Amino acid sequence: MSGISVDMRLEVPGFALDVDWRVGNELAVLFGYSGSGKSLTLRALAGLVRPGFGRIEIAGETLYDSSRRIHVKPKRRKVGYVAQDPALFPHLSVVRNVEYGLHEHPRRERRERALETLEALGIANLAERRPGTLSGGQRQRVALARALAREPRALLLDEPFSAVDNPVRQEMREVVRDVRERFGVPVVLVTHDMYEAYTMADRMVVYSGTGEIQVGTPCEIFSRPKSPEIEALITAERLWVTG
Amino acid sequence: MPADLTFPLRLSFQVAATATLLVAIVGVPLAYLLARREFRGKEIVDLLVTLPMVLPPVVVGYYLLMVIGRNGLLGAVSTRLFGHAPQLTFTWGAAVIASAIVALPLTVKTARSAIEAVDPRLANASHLLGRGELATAALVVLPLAWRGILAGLTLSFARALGEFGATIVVAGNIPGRTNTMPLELYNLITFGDWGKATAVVVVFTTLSAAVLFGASRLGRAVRP
Repeated sequence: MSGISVDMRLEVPGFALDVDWRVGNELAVLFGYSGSGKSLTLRALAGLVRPGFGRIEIAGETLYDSSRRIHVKPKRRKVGYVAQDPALFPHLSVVRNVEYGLHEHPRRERRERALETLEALGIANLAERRPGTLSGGQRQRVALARALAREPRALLLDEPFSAVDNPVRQEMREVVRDVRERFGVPVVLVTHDMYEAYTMADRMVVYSGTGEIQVGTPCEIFSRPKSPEIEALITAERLWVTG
Repeated sequence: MPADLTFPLRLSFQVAATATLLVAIVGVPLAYLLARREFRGKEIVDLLVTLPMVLPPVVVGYYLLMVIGRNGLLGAVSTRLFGHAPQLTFTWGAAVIASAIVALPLTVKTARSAIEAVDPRLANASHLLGRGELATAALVVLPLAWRGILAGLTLSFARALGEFGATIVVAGNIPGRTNTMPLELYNLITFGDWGKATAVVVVFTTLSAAVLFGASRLGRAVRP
């Protein structure tokens, strides 16, 4: 039980989301049109929104269960969350940003651990810089380092590369694949970019937009789309990417 | 500065500094709650805090008298509990309370908007990194809003320094005890002592201009 399983119903004003899927300790890509509820799902996994009904489990821990009245607060979930906006603390240096999440570790270990994580992401040289002086790609790496240093149960990435330029985006995809292997942590990556989904996913979770969900390897999804809606979604995206 | 003005001047600073300290202790947490929390009765709290800003200070003084006066609410409760009522009115402590209440909205308003200006995504990030509300406030939100908070406190200090209407009602105008600068100025004008009155006015105007200048510099830095 090292993966992620979600079975929930969540309502926000003007939108109801009803999802049920599970993935293993792998890189899962949550794919679908904008507005299909991908980001909302991720926010529910992080505990930033509370479903009305259902169950969320990450790495064997129940984080939400309506029948048992469990709703673990974000600060106790121990999940890494990186969104399009890296939300670095602008008044703290890069290394202090990473140390911020390490308060449960002994004081003298924090700096060392933070530097090790920065090293793993190839940005140890930025340790003393302020976030305001970094490029978009560098900021995203710092945000990843900050999330990973805590050894999270899962890493949740909400379109983290959509604000950076294409070459950097390609580089960031490699970074994510690399840290996923190195840290052995389940990753859920939200994207509406078909190419990104196809090239990165061990498993894809496709939100059709009509409430239907298909889970499978990219190969399975492409060769056997479960419904006309999902077929239309991947075909349209494919045409859009190549054309 | 004539020698008999040193007491009012010292008293004014003592009152304004103490009042500002009270405002900081009460006003900053209040501003934080108003900025970052939804709770029942939030609008009423906001209204009550803001009211002294628009009410004539004399009216605030009247309300205060109802609470801390000899026959006021506090006196009645204290008599019932301890058998006697503390003498608060006509002391410099009363002047502090009056000034603090009148000066509170300036800090709450300014600090609230400074705290609201801190990106809520940063607070979310802090929570997701395992930090609770107190640590998030102390390590992220307040350090990013401190200029606005300081600007608010500066304005409150200036407002407390000039407090007249509520003070004269609850603290009186007792020479050598509660005659703060504004009250002393009123006395000087009443007695036609224009020389000293002019000296007080010049001191006040200079101080207020300096405070406003400082506050606007701090305030400007809040919005990059």
